[in-house]
Amino acid sequence: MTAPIRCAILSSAHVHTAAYADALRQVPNAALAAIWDDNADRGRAFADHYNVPFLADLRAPAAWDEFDAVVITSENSRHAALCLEACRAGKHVLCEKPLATTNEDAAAMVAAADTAGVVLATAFPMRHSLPAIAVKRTISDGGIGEVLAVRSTNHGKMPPGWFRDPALAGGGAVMDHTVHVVDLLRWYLEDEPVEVYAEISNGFHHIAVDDAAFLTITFRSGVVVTLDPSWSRPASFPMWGDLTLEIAGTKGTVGLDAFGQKVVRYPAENAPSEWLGYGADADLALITDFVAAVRERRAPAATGRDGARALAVALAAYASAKSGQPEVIVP
Amino acid sequence: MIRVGLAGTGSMGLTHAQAYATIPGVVVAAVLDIDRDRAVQLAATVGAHPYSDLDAMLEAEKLDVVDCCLPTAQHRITVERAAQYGCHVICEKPLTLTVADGQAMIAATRAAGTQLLVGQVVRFFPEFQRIASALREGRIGTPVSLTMLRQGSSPGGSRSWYLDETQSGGIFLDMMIHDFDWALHHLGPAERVYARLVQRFEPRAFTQGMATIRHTSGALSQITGTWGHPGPFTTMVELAGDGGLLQHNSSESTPIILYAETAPREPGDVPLPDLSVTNPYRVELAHFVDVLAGRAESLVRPEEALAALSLALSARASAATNQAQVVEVVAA
Repeated sequence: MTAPIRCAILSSAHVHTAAYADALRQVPNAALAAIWDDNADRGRAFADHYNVPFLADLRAPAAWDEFDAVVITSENSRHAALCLEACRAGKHVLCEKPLATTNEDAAAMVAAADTAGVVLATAFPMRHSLPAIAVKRTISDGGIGEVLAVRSTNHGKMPPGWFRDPALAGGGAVMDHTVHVVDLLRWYLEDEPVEVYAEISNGFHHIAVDDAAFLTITFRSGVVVTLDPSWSRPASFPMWGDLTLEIAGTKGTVGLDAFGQKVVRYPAENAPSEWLGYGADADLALITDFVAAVRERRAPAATGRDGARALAVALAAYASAKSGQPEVIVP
Repeated sequence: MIRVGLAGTGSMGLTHAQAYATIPGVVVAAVLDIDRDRAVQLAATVGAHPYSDLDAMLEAEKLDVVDCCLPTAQHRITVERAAQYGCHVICEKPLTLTVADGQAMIAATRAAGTQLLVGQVVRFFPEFQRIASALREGRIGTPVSLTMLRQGSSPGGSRSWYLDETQSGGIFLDMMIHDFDWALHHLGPAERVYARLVQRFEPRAFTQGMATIRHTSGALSQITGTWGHPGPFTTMVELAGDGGLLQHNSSESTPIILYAETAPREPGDVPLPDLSVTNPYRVELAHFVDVLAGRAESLVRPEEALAALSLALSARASAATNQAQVVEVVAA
């Protein structure tokens, strides 16, 4: 029995933090070692709940000694600084998506991990979704021939707190929800998006960031993808949102409703119905893959570079919304 | 009794002929097709006189209305001739192939004092009408984003002219015009449009048009049309507002499900939705008959059909140039 990979969580700002913490406690040969948070009350409560030490100060000399890897679930714009610090300390990093809020930050994170020789993974759990994997296999097996066009959605409800703060989130629905679909399609198509057109608005919630958008993304091969990443699901919607694809190819069409494994619950009281998902836990698979990548010194399913590529599409979408024309995706 | 001269015996001509047979106060008096055999065949079925020449039909029959179900490239000449004879016109969508042609058609019917009723039939589909009434009732607050999808098999009948852009205008004008019209009618004028077109003919015919519209109100629409969808004819509409969300997907709304050991249906010229419960073509034509009888104002104004055409042309131009296009306001 080898020693477990000890992971610290850096910030519990993100709504996904608890899912990753739960997964870390379930994965064999992994351990949730500590939690740091710049919000001490939030961090202490989290640490108490999981019965792990709370790190008040990451700059304390001994702070980094107690773990091998970090999971960064801070606000988006704070990913980069935490990642750079972790790389300097020689720790492996799993970073919540979007990887960063600027292409410069993302490039610096990728370079720092390369220099330090540590694993940098981007949290794209969809790569571990069983329905999504089945579609990958269908495409790889030639089941729909050559892919021609894709319709996609990654709808959500309006998220809480800092997600609506442009300085911390780096954007709204486009920043939050473009990257999942882009990463899935880069994986499926083994191709890169080269251009994007976007129309955005904040009409749903009248907040400081975009909550409605329609994107059109063109891949190098000529595949055209339309994407609706909007926070357009009302509070009464029976699930948090969705991720759907309809992929048309020369020999057929395949559809994915990644959260379509669901049971409907109608409550006795006068309240909205709910969709109870029964799909396999993709977050658990994500953490399992990260821990295995660290242990085996191999690349994770989605690397920092993958995170940077997906981020670049969201940033180019904002540039397009500003210019009113399609924009080339850099880098 | 309103006397109709039915021009064209393709998918739409046949659909209209069947609908007229169930509408009181109207009779198909004449049937026109350049293929005389087809004209004779349908005329015999509905008890009308067959013609293969428009002027001959207009000269010989005292028609109240010409119903133009001909390929789009022939709409203008048909409407102008009918107007010269003082006939009203029911004209299949799209109105025509160019804005200038559309303006001429509207001017011709205005000068003749006749009605020009354009078959934007999606306005008459009950699910779309239910969404429209919910919007009017304020059930979703202010509309913010509209998603529309329309997909069916590739129109490939024996005489298919649909895939010939010079005849049909292509998918933006022929198929997506339905959704362009509906979006404009309910969300207001378009400011700009960006569109892409994916088209392949080998190993199978596949055409998909994708258009994103910014309306002057600030609302956004994304409209997709597919010819060559391997599944059943499907429409989807989702209208999201700041006070709620409306959805309809034809594949999830199936009041009748029939499983039977019958031979698969031969695909027709053009993919059509399931008309077995409510036939929106009948609803549309019954409404147009009411308009012609002076009992109603037309739900589809010719200016709206022209605006939808203008938007479709801008979308097609965008797809050709890969640049967003400003949608010009066109005067009728």
